[in-house]
Amino acid sequence: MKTVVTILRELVGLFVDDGSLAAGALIWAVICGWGLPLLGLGPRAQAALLVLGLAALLLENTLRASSRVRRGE
Amino acid sequence: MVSWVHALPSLTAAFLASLVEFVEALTVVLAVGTVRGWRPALCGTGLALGTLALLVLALGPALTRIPLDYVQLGVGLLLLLFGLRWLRKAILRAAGVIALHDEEAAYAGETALLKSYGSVRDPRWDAVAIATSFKIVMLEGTEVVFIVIAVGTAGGLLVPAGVGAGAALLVVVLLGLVLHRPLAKVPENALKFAVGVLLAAFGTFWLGEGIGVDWPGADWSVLGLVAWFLLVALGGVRLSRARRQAALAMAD
Repeated sequence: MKTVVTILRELVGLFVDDGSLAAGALIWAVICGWGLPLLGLGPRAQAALLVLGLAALLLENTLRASSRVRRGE
Repeated sequence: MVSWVHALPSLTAAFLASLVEFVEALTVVLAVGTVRGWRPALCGTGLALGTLALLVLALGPALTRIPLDYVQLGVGLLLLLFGLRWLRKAILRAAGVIALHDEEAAYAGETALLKSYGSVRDPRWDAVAIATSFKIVMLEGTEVVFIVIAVGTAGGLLVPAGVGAGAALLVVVLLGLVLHRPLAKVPENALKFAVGVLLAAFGTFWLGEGIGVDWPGADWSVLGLVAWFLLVALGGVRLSRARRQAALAMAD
């Protein structure tokens, strides 16, 4: 059981380092794929918003990580 | 006919990503070989490579039975998560927020750990050595298999991606045989930065194809996405460095 949990953890670790970035990218993909067409936005707008949103998520995440200062630093 | 617009980035992404993974695996296998002997080190490596080959043979044909739209969506999403994870870490390392990966330190740590297990009781079956080399080759190899499948399957480019990974393996094995020490001079973070950019761009492209977006310039937009993520990542390094310095100044 312990080995299975370790393998699963390693497998998830391949794709997820910071949970909030992975969750944000997933949610944004769902919004761009299924939410934006409901608002009447076309495939070109979907493409632009997908790219811009992912970049914003990455930048927000790295900046948030950069602001964290541990004791002794 | 394979389009070079797709084949070259696929080949490059698979080569660079595999190079990083194989360098990390080589460090541990070298430590196992030096401390516990080459026979168990190579035995564990061989077992892991065999297991990986079985995995590819089992998963490869299964993937071809899934409709292309679903493959693009699934592979694109996983590739994007994989790429963003690498890119995030590479940005934070380049900005000095987290420490750079040091192969010499990893080698020293692994060597000390292997020595702490004591002397080899049965030289024909050194379970610690076999398990250590098996685990690292399996772990890094799984990432290589995923990268090859991910950058190759969605666009029908498994051959160029496989050639890229094979070339990386050859380079690392040859360097390992010649140098017999960890490849500490490989600019690992720069490679991870480049791979993160490529994988994030590929992932975004295939995810977009899967959800039905209309990429301007069709396949050529992959190059545009690479340029975009490179720009964002370089900007991210500058902003993260400034943010870090401000946070440290506030904490003082």
